[in-house]
Amino acid sequence: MTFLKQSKLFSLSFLSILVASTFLSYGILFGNGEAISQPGMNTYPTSPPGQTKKLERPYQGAPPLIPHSLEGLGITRSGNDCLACHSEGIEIEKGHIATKVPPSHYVNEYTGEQTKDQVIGVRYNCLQCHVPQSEKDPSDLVKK
Amino acid sequence: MNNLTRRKFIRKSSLALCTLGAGFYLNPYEVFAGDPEKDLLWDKAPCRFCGTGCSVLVGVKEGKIMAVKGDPRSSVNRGTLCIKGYSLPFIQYGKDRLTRPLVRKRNGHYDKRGELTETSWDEAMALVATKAQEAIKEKGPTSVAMFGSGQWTIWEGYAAAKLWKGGLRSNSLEVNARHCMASAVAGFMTSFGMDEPMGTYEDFLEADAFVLWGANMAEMHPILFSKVTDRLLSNKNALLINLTTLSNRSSQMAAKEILFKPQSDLAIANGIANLLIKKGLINEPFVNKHTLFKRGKENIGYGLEDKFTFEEDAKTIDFETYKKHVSRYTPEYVERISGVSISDLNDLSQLYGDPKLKVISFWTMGVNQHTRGTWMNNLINNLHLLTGKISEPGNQPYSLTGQPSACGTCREVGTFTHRLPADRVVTNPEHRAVSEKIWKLPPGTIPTKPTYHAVEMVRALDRGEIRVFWSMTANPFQDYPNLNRYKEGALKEGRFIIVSDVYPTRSTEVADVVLPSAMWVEKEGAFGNAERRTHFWKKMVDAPGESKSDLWQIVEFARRMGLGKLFEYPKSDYPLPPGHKASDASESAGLYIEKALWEEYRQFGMHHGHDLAPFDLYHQTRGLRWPVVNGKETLIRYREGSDPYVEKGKGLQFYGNKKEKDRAIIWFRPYEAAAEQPDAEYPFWLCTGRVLEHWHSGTMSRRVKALYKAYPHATANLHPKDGQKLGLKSGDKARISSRRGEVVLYVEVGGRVTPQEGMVYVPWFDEEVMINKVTLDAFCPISKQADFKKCAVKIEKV
Repeated sequence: MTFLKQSKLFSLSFLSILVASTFLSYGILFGNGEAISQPGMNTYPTSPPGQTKKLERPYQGAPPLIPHSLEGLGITRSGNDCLACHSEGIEIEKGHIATKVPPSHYVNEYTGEQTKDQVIGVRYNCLQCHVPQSEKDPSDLVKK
Repeated sequence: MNNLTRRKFIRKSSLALCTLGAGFYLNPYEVFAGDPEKDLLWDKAPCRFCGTGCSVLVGVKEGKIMAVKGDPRSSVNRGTLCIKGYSLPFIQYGKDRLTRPLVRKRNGHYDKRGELTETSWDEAMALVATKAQEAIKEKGPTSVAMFGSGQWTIWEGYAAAKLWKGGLRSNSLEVNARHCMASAVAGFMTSFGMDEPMGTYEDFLEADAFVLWGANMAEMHPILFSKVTDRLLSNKNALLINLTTLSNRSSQMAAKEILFKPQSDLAIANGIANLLIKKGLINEPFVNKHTLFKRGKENIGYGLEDKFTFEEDAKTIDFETYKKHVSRYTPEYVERISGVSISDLNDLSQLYGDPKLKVISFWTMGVNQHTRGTWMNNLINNLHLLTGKISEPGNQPYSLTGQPSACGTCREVGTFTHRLPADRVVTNPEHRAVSEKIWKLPPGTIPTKPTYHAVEMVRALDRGEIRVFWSMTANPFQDYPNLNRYKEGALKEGRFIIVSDVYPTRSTEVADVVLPSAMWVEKEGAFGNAERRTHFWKKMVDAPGESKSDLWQIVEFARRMGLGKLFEYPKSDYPLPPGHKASDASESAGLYIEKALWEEYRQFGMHHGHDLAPFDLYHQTRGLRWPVVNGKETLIRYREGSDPYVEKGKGLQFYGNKKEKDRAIIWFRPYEAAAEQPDAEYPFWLCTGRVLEHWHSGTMSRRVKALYKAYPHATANLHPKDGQKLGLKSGDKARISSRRGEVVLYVEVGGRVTPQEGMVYVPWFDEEVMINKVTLDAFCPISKQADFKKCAVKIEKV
């Protein structure tokens, strides 16, 4: 029986490997044939929760993005490490308050009723909406 | 949480609810009135991405999409969305959006070796029509091919099918859904005689156990996985089993993650069936009343050679013979093939066999992209038939869908070489006759023979039998397996490639003509999701520049081919409603062409188990699940009381199999090895797939900043022991090569997806990592769906 190993599933490659020379180029758009490929590595912030600045949301109503490392954090049926800080919006370090889970996450989607202490089940997998941000910028992607 | 905070929370939430109530629940239907706070105009649309079919509310201001939110009125997602859904406001605003037609030219004239040059629609379409006419004259109509997708709207797929099969008289019509859902179709057709799942997402609420068969649902169908999670958290006895070849995020909620060797799912499913028999866990009354047993052809090959053919030879067998066949799949034998322990197999058989447990099996690409994909679909269906756990809340074999309208467009319209609308086929004279009658065409118009399925289509292009290849809403020259051969084929002299798309892609690189398309809410559309839900949306914003919808392009092409009559309807029957934001296709036709096409298309399914509602009803609802009879949708098919097609007193009736007296088929399908297996020279399995943040080949999602930054690049994911063996650690560069091609990329050891030992996982969303140069174009001989999950590769540090 292989039960879930949290650490294994969530070590989202937070080893900070900076591939300094990696850059993107979409190559030729107008020529006939294939542009040269420029693969890259995904590098994510290494700072733990409480030591990073909040990221700007893409628009009002969009889910907040994750500015910190997820190393060692996990979500399982028996526990959700994200909620340890975010359910109440605790102050992790001085001046760094975890973004609080909004009321919408406590409203039962079938009945419209307020749930007690538990974020509703359909909102429990935080990472389906809230995603970490690597250092890469997509403006490199524009061809032409 | 202290009391004060809690009270504040409650107050805030009830406030939020009031707002919700005012905004959503009191308005009978949308379009919504403007939201005064944000000054946005909100309207509903299905999400542009996966087959779940979430409904989103799109907020528009001054002709631009500013925001989306999950639609609380849709029973699919009830107000939630995943990160891809939340990124919808950005997908059409990439800086390099195509806005003008391009023709490859040198010295002002078309030249295959020239450069893509901006031109007018008139010139581009004239060239397309000329090339198609030349090809037809020289090689016949089958040499003109259309390759569409499960991201086509229903009327785009329908118009293409009508034009190709009824107009050009060519069955050279295929879709990327062949790479995605064909095995599920073949599985449903051979087991039940009718395509698509019998249940709906509501069934998840009643299940006690969920079994994932090679489907990383947490990443690929996040909203459906959130429903499963909800069930698991609210019922402590409910459980999830993740049967998989790689450790993935879906295991986070699983009671067990069971790793199995690639291809051995065939043995596992047979092993479970064998244990059900041995333990007396068969639902005998159900099996006797509702099923019969068959055995098909075996050692069926892999389709690796050009012009491969397959003819099924099915024989009815009795239950005893079936028992004898599966008896060879003893737990010991299955353990040897699959690596799954005897105790896990016993648990699985107990779970499927316990009459008190309601079980849903989920599967998608792991089972479908499989050289025995049809067999594997049959084998999962078997487990539900042997135990009678089917067609009731909580008990379903549930095939998940990849694309937003793989069901609605590809499967239901039948945009495959062999198909016609509503589960009909070109090889059946009655089916052709029905279609010709609805299309008002003379008898004998529709060609009787299928031509090329997706893989064979690009082989025919390479061989020169296909001269004109038109891709719409797809990116074939990144998506096809064994890509090197097919890309070279497309670049050969005498091949004319047309790509209709919204951004430059790997496919536009080989195109002779690039046509800028309108996308999503820039046109009026309809999709069909994985629970038979058909849902519509209206045009909300204009497409940029000179972009035109695929529907407009198809109708314009028809007109230039002298086949415009196919799309002429009485204007008085389909007037454009006052105040309606007409699509480009409607505007140019001078009538409500979407409605005209819909009302014609819907005749195919009427009184045929595929009934669809009148056009206007869909704009008033969050979609309806077919068959829709007397305005009422069907939740569970084949079950009396829910499905109007079940005769009174029957209880359960698999009426798709009329010839078999309404019985479903339990197929004996053996384990057979994969087409290519690791060996001394190529010692690793390669498995490809997707990631949560990206959609297909990444042409949209990689242009969204939050998505791009969340997962910029495709990496090669390795098991830590393999990393050690190869001297590779995360951040190292490696070359992955097969007998067909190679890619260079960065390695990630033990990441979000950690394959079993001896396997490497590479997602295909990244056009900088063209992993399909490495993959193998072997396919399931029955469904013709390629296996993107298994081939042999070597990995070297560079």
